[in-house]
Amino acid sequence: MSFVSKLAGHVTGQRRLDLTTGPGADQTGQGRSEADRPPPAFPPPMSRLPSAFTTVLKCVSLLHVTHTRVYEFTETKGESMLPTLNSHGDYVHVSKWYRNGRDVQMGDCVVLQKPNDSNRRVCKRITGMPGDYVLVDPSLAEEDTYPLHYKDTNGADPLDMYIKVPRGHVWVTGDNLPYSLDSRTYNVVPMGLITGKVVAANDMNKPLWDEEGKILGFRKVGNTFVDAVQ
Amino acid sequence: MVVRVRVRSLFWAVSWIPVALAATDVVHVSRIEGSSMRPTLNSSDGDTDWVLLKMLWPRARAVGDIVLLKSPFDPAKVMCKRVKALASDTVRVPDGEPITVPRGHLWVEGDNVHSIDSRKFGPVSDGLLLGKVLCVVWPPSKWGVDLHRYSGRNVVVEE
Repeated sequence: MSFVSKLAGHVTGQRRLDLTTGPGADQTGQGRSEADRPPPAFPPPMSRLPSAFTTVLKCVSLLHVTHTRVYEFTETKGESMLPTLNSHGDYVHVSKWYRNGRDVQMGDCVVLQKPNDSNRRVCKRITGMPGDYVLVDPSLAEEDTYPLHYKDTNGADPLDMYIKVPRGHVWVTGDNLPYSLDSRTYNVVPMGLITGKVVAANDMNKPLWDEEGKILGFRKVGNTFVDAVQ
Repeated sequence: MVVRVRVRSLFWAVSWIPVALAATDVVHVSRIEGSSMRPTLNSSDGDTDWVLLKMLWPRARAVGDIVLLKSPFDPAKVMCKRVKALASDTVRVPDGEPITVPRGHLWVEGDNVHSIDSRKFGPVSDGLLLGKVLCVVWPPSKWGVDLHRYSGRNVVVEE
């Protein structure tokens, strides 16, 4: 039996069922419950539109809520986090629990909105917590290549000074210090700009399944802080 | 049978939770606390105004808008201020030299002179913005109030 004839047989069978147990039976029979009535064979297509709309709405909302509040998987670009993250082809797993700097610690790798361009997000490591004193980076002053190097009007070098990180702020730097635009140029960053913490990363340039059993170069991105004082 | 119907209706209700959460990222109704926006909002002691906020694309804004933003010193705290100057505007400060607002930053002040705002902590990054106040929804006596009627001091230095 071909598919078409199968379909036709089903439909005619359904119709026959309609005729025997449907309206005719309802007119004469008494006490027939709602549940016994067969469903309409051909629902009008328009009646499905609201249902499709709400399904799409629910799916988009769930995706948005997950992305802003729970978890995000997103591409990263740029040399500033080498060797932790590659300059291209890397995707990071971001936990949104840590948004607004909740529970972040020294040494965590975070995603934050750029303070001077909030449409762009950057990935940096926290190297100063509120109350810490941070030496900006006098090594940049020695190289004369640093583009934003300038002396204060009273002769102070902004790269060779200690900054106290204020309440509710963090000091962030890239892992690749010579090729990173970070707190050394835009100063401390309010924790409200932190959108999440990087917990793991995948490398899309790696094979799907390598010899060590890693899927797409999966590795965890952890806290690298070593407390030298202890 | 009844249990199955209950589970289905529960599932139906739960499936709407993300929609409700996402809707709060589009529009939001919020209570205003404190006196920093007096006389525009919370006009007298004991008043609590509720306002309708546009949360979608908070970065589209202009001078004179009343905005909600995260406090730069405590991200859990939300402040309500008026945008007084945009990036690259030069701002008159109460004491000291005029300041030029850096790129990606805003100068925000409360309408009340006794307000902790950019006069105290300087320009804020516009990534801290949460939403823009559209109108007052409660109390009814303030429906249709012009939010731009009292806009505090004029801060931008004209060139």
